[in-house]
Amino acid sequence: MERFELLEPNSLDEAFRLLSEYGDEARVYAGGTALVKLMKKRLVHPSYLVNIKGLKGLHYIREDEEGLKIGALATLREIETSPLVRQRLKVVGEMVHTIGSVQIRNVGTLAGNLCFADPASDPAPILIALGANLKIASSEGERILPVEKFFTDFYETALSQGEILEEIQIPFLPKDSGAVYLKHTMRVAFDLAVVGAAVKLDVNAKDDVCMSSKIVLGGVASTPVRVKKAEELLKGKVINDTLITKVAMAASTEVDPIQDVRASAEYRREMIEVFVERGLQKALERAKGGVL
Amino acid sequence: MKRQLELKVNGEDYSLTVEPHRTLLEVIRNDLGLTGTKLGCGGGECGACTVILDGKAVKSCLMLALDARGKEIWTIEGLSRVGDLHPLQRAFVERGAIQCGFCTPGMIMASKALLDENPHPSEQEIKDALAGNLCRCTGYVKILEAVLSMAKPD
Amino acid sequence: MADEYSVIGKRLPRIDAMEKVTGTAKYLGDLTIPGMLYGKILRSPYAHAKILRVDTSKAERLQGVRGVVTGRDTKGIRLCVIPHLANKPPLAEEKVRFIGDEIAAVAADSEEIAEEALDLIEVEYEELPGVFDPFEAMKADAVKIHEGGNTAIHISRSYGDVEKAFGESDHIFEDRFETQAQPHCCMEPHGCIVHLDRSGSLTVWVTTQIPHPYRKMLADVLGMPLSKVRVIKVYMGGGFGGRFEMDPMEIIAYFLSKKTGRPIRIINTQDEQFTTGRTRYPMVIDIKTGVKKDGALLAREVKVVTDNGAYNSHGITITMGVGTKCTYLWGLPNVKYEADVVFTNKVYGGAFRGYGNPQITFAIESQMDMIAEKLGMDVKDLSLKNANYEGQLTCMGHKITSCGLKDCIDQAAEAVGWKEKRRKPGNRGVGMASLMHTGGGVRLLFGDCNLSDVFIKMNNDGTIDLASGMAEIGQGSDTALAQIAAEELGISIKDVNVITGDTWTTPQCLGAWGSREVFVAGNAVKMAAGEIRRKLFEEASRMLEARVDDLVAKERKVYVKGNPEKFVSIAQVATTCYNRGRILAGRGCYDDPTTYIPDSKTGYGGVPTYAFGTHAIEVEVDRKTGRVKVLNFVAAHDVGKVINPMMAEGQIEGGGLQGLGYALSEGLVWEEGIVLNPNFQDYRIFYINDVPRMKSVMVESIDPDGPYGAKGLGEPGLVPTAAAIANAIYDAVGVRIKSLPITPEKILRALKEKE
Repeated sequence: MERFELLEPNSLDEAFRLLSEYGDEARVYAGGTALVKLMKKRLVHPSYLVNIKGLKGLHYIREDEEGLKIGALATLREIETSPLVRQRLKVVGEMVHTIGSVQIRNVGTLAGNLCFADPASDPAPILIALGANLKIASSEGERILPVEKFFTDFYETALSQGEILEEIQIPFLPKDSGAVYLKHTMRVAFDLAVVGAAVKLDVNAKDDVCMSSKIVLGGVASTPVRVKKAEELLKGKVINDTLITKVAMAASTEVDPIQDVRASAEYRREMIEVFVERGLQKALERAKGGVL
Repeated sequence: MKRQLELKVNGEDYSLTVEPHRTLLEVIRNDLGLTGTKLGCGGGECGACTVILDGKAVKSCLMLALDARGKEIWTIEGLSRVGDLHPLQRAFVERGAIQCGFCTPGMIMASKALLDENPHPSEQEIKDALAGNLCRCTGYVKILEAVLSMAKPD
Repeated sequence: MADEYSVIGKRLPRIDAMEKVTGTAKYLGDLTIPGMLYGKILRSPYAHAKILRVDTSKAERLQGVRGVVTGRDTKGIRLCVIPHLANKPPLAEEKVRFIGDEIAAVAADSEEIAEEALDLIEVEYEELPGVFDPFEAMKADAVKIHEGGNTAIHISRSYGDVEKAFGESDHIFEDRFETQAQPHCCMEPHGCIVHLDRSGSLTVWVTTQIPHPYRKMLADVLGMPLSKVRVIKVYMGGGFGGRFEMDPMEIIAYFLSKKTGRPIRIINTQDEQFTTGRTRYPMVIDIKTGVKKDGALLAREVKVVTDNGAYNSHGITITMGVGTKCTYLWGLPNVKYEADVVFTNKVYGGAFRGYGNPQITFAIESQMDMIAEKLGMDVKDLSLKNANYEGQLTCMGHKITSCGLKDCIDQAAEAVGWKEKRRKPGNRGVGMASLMHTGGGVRLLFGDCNLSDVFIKMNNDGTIDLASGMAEIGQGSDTALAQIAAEELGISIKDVNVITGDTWTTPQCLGAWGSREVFVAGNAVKMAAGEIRRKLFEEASRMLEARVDDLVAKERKVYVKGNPEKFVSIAQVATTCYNRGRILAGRGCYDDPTTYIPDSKTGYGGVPTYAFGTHAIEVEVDRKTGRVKVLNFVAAHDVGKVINPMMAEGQIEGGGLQGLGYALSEGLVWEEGIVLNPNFQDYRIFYINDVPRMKSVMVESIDPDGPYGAKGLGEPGLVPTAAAIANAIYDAVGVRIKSLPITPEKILRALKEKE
């Protein structure tokens, strides 16, 4: 690996200052699993790593009336095994379980995964579907940004120089809501999603009418994609098999999927249809069955 | 610029100075001479570099050595005293779970981390713990059998 | 039969398990030789280019750099495991021919400095058009990769009368099958430490499967006497055929050592392994088979185009071998074979477990399934009808000395639930495929012999030191040899010290390949141990006042048959011998007994014994995604006699998973000569969650020439797997995929076309 200076601020303010000072020569370093790998492959060359692991007050998983609040330094493994997550937002724990392997999850952070902005990121689609927000801090203060607005391109986010992702805020699922994240991979585990499909449905329990929905796809474009036109087809309608099939088909034509060594664009398109359909079925089941 | 690194490895205290860009794997192998932990792929994909850090299995090729400051690490060398084997090691030996042996230290450390946290894992829980460890020789069958044999029933 | 043997047939832990499980075993990268420098290789970024200029001056001036070499230093040297085909310069001279081709190398105080120095080497190229497909390369107007043209060799052989037989056939089947490049994916990348010392002696620590032939190849290439060349194979993190030749890096390291006077270590990164290491050769196979309506297979005509890659390695011998393998399974009387081995501007292949048999068996056994369907027969019955048998002569005149194929077919089918699951509606299906492969090496490389020399000395406490030129590469050969020696001498496996890997301290052996270890080296061990046992019995007969013929050696004792109280310990006998000045040394030099004279057209020699097997696999196909789930994998193998069931299962399970990867998931993907998936994330090798339920069935046909009847098992484990999978998928959802790997995309596309 190429040499760099390891900067270890004692406070967030100091961290902001260092990041602003060194600009794009510096990168935030937390878990580092993705960053170290990139640096070893010489795909990025930061001269400075700003190690935020020493900062107090960033390592937590807690709840308030609205939802879960996950600090920047909470590891994926902590989230996966958190009783709070299991009880209140099971779908998040399920999704985290599919990321990498235990060794990676022991070290990697959710915040880091989002900032890395891999097009096949697993958290991204489901967090968007759940309406999650990000608390981003800098020397100017804090701002709240919906996860939906966070990803701008392959491996690029809306973070400006001098900003740090401080907290991930995930609203609880209301009653009669169901959410699921389905990850289509070529191998059973430890694989990147060829297509990731996150579906959230808010349903009128009495008549299965869809109040609102979010369908978000990962691994098919430079950033996660929310298929709004497909979602429109659900609004106010009774969710049945025929509608689900129609919506899934619409989702597959709404996206122009990427082509890479993992899968062709055509296959991705077909899988979008399959997994949006399966996702809708499962989300509906959960909405009615009360699974969180 | 070199920095101070104090850490405990296999029960022994070490004090080193290392540059920030050195990985934990390099320091373990080259500075401490503990070559049991292997460099397989260098990219966190094969698991041959797995060590236990503060009770958790980690891929040491993706960690900076300085991330281990003040931490306690166990490597394969720490599992057994001279001439004596840890029961998990004995299970690997007796069940034919070793062929070329290159993946073995990583498999054992990942399994040990699991068993320390969960002494009675199910077959799927063992597969989850070893999901990121590659073996090209054994087909994993006997590795799974060896770890399963350690999952004592209540 | 149960307790016939004390050590043979027992589930014993391998003798090197302790070192491996404690992390004390030292692999190449764990070694430190005093004064060692670290080498790194500069590789071509172009698939095909002329080299106009190489300037290493800036690199040489970098602090910590001790030596730099280029094609000027290695000029004239050409490498290939088959010397007369050698066309690979260790460092490029005028041209580079694939992305990754070696151009220059640096030795420095650290890997870091060496890498930095590579960036300072200036190379001026003139890019040339590249050709990446063998069919394109065969065209008259294709750019020439080598002076002699792009076809390395054209092979043409024929046995019997294929045209006449086609004329007599009721049905003719013609199909094309395509297979992909599969790298070995050893967990340990290839590496070496090379030291030319001040006395002019050369020591090479290297991950090699063939220490003795390697020593000769090295000495020949460098023009050194063998007595000055020492090759040491250390613990190896896998082989599978990938270390069955010299790699340019060793010659490069030699010249760096010569220049610097220091030991030089070079180890590939996994990225280098994927992009520049050997692979299984991709082949396009056209197979035409004539059959009678009762299922008798009459004739087979096969055309193969092998993608040789940029330079010669095992491509020619593998392709020749495929021709011979066309005469193996089902023992057809009429076989015609034509093949072209063609250069392309991609990495060149090498030997890989199966040596061409996985490719041709994929074709043969897929087509067999199609033939059965057309004839309205169960492929199990078709297979049984045509099955090879003991005593059969193939159309090449090869004799089959032992054969458990029918048992393999029956038992595999039984274990997978063939009758209940075959041709049933739904998404599940079963398929089978059989194999015939060498079970004891082959007279193919390194001279017209298939030999192993073993030397054993018994110490005066009854323990032994066993020296063999065989190579333990993880397959367990050291343990198997120890078991054979222990059985023969009546001692415990714990009493056996196996010395292998160092050419200084071991006698000649052709090494670990061709599934020859147990058969050839095992027989040599048996001979050597037998010599010692004779001497022990001579002495023991005096001590016990009994006849030599009445003596038995077992459990560290020599006793009189039927009268175990009348015994003397082997340690006592050994001590007595030593005291009398009678040294207990034994030597066994075994060369297989094939009288078959190598085919004059191909040089491809006979095989002493054949391994057989059948894989029967149950799958479930997700019709929406094309994903295949393997529900049950039964592998029945005729091993002659199982020396160690635990290790034999290990070979079958490990080989089986490699076979599943080959069938469903693995393959290098190229675009204009660039490897697009040079890592374990994008190259889809299987992890633990991908493993299906596996069952190994061992059939013992007791070979008359094998030690205790044993035959080889190193390679058969993955030979028929791909065909069994293809056949199972066809049974499940009715689509026939003829190219590997059988990906979900291919299945989905085929399902859509079917609608």
